[in-house]
Amino acid sequence: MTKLVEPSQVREIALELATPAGTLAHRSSVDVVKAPGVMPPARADTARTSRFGGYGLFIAMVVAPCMLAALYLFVIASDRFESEVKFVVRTVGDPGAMDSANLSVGLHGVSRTHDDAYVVNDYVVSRDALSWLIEHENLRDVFARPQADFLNRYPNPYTSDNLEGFYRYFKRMVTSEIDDTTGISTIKVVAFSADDAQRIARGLVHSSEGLVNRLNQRSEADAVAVADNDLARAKSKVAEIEAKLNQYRTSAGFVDAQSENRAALKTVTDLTTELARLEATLNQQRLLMPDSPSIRSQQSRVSALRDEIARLSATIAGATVSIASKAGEYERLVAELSIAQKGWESAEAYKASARRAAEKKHLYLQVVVEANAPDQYSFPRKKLDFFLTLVVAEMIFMIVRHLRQFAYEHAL
Amino acid sequence: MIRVLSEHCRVSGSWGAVFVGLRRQAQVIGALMLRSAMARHGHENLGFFWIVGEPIFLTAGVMAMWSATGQGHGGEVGVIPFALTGYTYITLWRHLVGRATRALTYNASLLYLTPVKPLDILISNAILEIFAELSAFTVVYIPLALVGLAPVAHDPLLSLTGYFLLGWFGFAFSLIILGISELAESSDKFIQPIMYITLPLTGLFSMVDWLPSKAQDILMWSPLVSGIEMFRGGIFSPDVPIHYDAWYMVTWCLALTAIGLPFCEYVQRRIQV
Repeated sequence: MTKLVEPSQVREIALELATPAGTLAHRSSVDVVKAPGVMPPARADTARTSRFGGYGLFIAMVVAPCMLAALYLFVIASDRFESEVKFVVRTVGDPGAMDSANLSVGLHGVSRTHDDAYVVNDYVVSRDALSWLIEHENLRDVFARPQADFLNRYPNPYTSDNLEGFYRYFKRMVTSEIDDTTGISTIKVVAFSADDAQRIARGLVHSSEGLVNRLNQRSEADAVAVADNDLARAKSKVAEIEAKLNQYRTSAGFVDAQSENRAALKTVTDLTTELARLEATLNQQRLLMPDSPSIRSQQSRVSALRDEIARLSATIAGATVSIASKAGEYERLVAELSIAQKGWESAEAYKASARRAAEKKHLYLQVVVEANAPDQYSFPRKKLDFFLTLVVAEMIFMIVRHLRQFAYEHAL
Repeated sequence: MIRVLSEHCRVSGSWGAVFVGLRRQAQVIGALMLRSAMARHGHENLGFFWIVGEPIFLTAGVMAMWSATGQGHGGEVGVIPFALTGYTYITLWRHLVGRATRALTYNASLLYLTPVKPLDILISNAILEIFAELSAFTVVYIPLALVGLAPVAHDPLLSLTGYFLLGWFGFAFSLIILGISELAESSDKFIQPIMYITLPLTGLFSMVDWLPSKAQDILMWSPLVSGIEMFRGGIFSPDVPIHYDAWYMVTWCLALTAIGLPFCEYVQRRIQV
């Protein structure tokens, strides 16, 4: 526990404080003003008698890691080549990149690209792409090349030897990103030879094109399926009404009510004309030759005609077995049929336009920059990595050293 | 030149002595923490517990204000947890740096005691500040989570990692600030305004995912942003996307500490109290 010092001890303590703290460490034995109430200092072994002469910490924390890093970076590590391919995914009616009016850079503004562009980006680093590459581009051999070093190859000692492990390794080797403002996606593939990297990158683009085509087919089929459905329904409706009409015709017993009506009317008209003529002849006969024997036959013909006309008129406008009452139902069915036929026409037209609209929504994958075959390795960045190792090791060493020294001063 | 380098590479004193010194240092720091708490708040009212109570008031006040003005960004993230996490983080940062400014000058009386070294004062202040803020946050957060106003943390380890990384970062930064403020005469006038101006760099005002991607790239260069994203990410629901780079922040902390400790030692030697 810390004790407060007496005022009489302050001077002695102040004297001790007057010596700079850092130089205390250089004395081989320590003279400390022994103020009562202060804990006695620990025995200060100088580091000169320790095994490495005081440099042990430095060697362990800086020299050793740097040597290990140098050994790995300059001797063991294999060159890795990176191939890059850029493409865009867009539709026919796409305005393309966001125009400046949409680029709102505020705390609330979010600028996004076409949603479909992200589909390919996600696909490229997915297990599906991995399986495709294993199948078509022999991916396992690409990462198991003899020149690959033991840490960067696959299979390696720290990754499990199944598809999941391979997938994690694959995600390290293939990266995809998309620039929000331009909409251009970039895929980078790292492999142990330039040709391999280029081949894999091209394979990924090829596989993405397949994906885009599948997406297009699916969306087109879906859109057209709806239209097809409508069309089939319209057709069946028309067929149904026609069937009803036929059934009505056969049960009612005549082909066309209207023409039947017309025929009956015509007959009535003809008969009425005939009747008028006969009556005129009869009257004339009566006036000229009242005792002629043909008057009776003419009279019987007139009355027969009248009966016939009355009968026909009854069938036209009568109550029970009458053409007029059947005409109402018939007209209704005919009207329904014409509506159904119009529906069929419009369903056909809709189907054609649906197909056209689906085509407009088609996605296209356009390669902007072809996959390159680099002539220089991209990884490992030997000098940079070594320098970083040195810097970080040095930083950690400095921290440990100063803290250690600080703690040591408390023991004095 | 060679002599300087070789002196730099060598350590002095045996490890045994170092461990004895460490125990002593722990005692000193503990005592300093107690003293600091007492000195700041005395024995009135809550006394020592005002360490926790003061941030509570700040945080609760800001939360009430933000929810009243309806500054909610995005549906999934409520205003209250957003304000709570943001303000806790910022308070820790500001206090760590603020108390380091001219700390040696203000605490000169402590330095007369042999066991007390300037770094001990800084360490004790930092530890006290970290745990006080954490307690304040917990005291406010738990009732809110129980009521349902704040989501229950699904990854507390992530939050604590972000928080303690900020503690480390703030401590390392405070070492440098201490040096600058003690050595340069009127520099402490500039420190507060600079802290205010760089407040957006701490990622307090919005989550990184809400910004356009160019702004995201710029903001991710700041180590404080990673810390606050981790802190918030552990508390908000997992659907909320967060962007952080923990190793980047660790590297910054290492670098600042590696610069700050020798700097502090240099100041220690040079200072005329």
